[in-house]
Amino acid sequence: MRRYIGRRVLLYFPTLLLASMAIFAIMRVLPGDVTQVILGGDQTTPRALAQAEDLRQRLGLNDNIVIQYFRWVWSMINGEFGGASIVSREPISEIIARRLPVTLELAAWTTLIAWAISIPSGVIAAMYQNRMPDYFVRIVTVAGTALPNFWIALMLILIMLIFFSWTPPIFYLDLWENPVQHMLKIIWAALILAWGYSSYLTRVTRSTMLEVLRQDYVRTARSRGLRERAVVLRHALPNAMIPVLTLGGLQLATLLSGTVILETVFSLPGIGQGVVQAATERDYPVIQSLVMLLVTLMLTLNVVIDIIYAKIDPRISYG
Amino acid sequence: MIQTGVARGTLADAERGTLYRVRRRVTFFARHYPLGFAGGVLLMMMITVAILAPLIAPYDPLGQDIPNKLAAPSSQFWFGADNFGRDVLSRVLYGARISLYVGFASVGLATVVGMLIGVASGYLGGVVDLVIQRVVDMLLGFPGLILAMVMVVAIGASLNNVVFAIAVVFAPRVVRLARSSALSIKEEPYVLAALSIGASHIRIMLRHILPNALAPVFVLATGYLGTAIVVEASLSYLGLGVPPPHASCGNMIFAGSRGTLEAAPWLSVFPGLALAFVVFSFSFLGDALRDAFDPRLRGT
Repeated sequence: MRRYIGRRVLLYFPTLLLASMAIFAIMRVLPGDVTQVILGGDQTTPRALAQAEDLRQRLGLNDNIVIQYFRWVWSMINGEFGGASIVSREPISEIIARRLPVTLELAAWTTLIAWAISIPSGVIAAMYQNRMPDYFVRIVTVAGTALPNFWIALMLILIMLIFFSWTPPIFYLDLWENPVQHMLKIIWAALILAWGYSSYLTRVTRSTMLEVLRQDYVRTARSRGLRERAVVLRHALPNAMIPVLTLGGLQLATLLSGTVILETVFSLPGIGQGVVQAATERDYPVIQSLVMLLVTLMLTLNVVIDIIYAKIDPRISYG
Repeated sequence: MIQTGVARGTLADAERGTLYRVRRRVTFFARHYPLGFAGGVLLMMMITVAILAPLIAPYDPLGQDIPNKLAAPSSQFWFGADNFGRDVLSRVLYGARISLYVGFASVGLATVVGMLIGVASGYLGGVVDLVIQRVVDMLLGFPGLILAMVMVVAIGASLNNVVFAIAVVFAPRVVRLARSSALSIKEEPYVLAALSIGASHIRIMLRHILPNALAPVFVLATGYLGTAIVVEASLSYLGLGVPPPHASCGNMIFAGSRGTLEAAPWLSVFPGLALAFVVFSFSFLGDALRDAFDPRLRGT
C-alpha cells in the first residue's frame, strides 16, 4: 500500500516535467518568428524591426532555448507564472489571482449540484429498472452526455430571452459585492455543466447500484424483513458509492474542459475564458502558463484520487 | 442466452456462407439493441445525405443572396437564411459533411496510430513501454478541449490541422486500451507458438496481437466519434476550428449566436439540432456495441 502510494507520487513528477516540456515546445514549433505573428503586418521597416527586436528582448527569445525553458519553469515555481501578458502587459500572476477563483467557484457549484442530483436519480433508476422512472433518467442522461454544452447554453439563453425577456447580467460582479447578480451570472453555466457531469455520475451510480442490489447480503437484508428503503439506503448504497466516488473524481478533472467553453459563452472571467482569449490574441506567455496551471491541477487531482481510492477500498491490494 | 452478442457464430453458420452470417448478426443486434440499431440506421442515413449533399442541397452553401438576408424558415428556405442570405439547410448539409469528415478522420487517425503504439508498448515492455506510458500520462493530463486548442494555436487552423489536433486528444486513450489488450494477448499460447517457430517480433505484433486487440479498440472508437464531432464543433465555436468559408456546424452556431440570436434563432437552432442528431446516433450505437462486446457493462 505504502509502496503503491510512493510509486504513484514518484511517477507524478516526471509526468509534470514532461507536460511542461511539451507545452513549452508546442508554443515554439510555430513556423517563422513568433514576433512576426504577434506584431503582424510589414516587418521590413526600421521601426518594425526595432519593435520586433524589443519584443524579442522582452520575451527573452534571444537566449538559448534551454535557458528559456528553465527560466520559465523557475518562474512557474516562484509564483511569477512566466512574466506578463504581451497584449495587456498585465502580470500573469495577477491574471491567475483574478481568474482562478471564478473557475474554482464554477467547478464547486457544478460538483455540488451534480452530486445532489445524480446519487438520488441513479438510485431511483436502479430501483425501477426498465420502468418509467428508469427510462426517464436514461433519456435525460443520454441527452446530457450527447448534446454539445455550448449549444444547450445558447438555447437556454434564447428561451429565457423569448419567454421571459430576460438575459443573464452582462458584467461579472464579485460574490461579496453583489451576491444576487453574481449568482444570476454564474448559476447557468454551473447548471449546464452539472447536467453533463451528473449524467455520467447518474449512469455510474445506476449501474453499480444494479450490481450491488443483486448481491447476497442485500437478499439477506430483505429476507430479514427490512423495509426496501432501509435495504437500499443502509445496505446497498454505501457499497455502491466506492466506484462512483472514484469515477466521479476522475471526471472532475475533465470538468475543466467544460468550464473553458461555458465561461466563454456566459462571459465568466475564469481561467478557461482566459485561455481562449489568449489563444485568439496569440498571447503565448499567457497560454503557456494558464495551460500549465490547468494540467498541474488535473494531474494533482488524479494522484489525490488514486491515493484516496487505495485507502478507502480494502478489497484492492496494490503491489 | 445473450452471451457474446455480435461475436457469436457457430459451425452451422460457417457452412451457410458469409451473407447469412452477417444477416444473422445484424438481426440479432437489431433485436437485442434496438436503440443502437436505430442509431446505426440514422447514421447511415446521415452519411448518405452528407455524401450526396451536392445533389440534395437546394442552394449553393456559399452563394450569397442579400435580398433574402435573415429570411425566416419558409417553403423557399426550409431552415431560413443567414445574414448573407445563404440557405441554412444547404449549409447544414455541407456542415454535416465536414463534421462527419472530421469525426471519422480524427478518430481513424487516432485509432491507427494509437493501436500501433499501444501494441508495441505492451508487447515490447521495458524502457519503450515506460517512456510511451509517461507520454500517454502526460497527454491524458490535459483537459481534452484545451489540448486540441493548444495544438490548433501552434499549428494553425485548417481542416486537416483540426483533424490532427483532435487525433492527438484521442490517441493516448487508444494507446492505453491497445496496450492492456496486448499485455494479456502476449501471454497466449499461440503467441508463444509463433515465437517458438521463429516469427519476428514485428510479425507477431502485426499478425497475431494487433488483429486480436482490434475489437475493444473498435468499440471504444465508435464511442469517440460523437465526442470528436463535439470537440470540433466546440473548437469552431471558439473560433479555433475549421476556418470559414467552410460551413461547419460549430462555426454556424457561433455566427448565429453573435448579435442575431434573438432576431434569427434558426441560425443556431438548426445546426445545433443536426449536430445533436449525429452525436445521439453515435452514442446510441457506441453504447450498444460496447454492451454487445462486453456483457458486464450491459445497461450502464
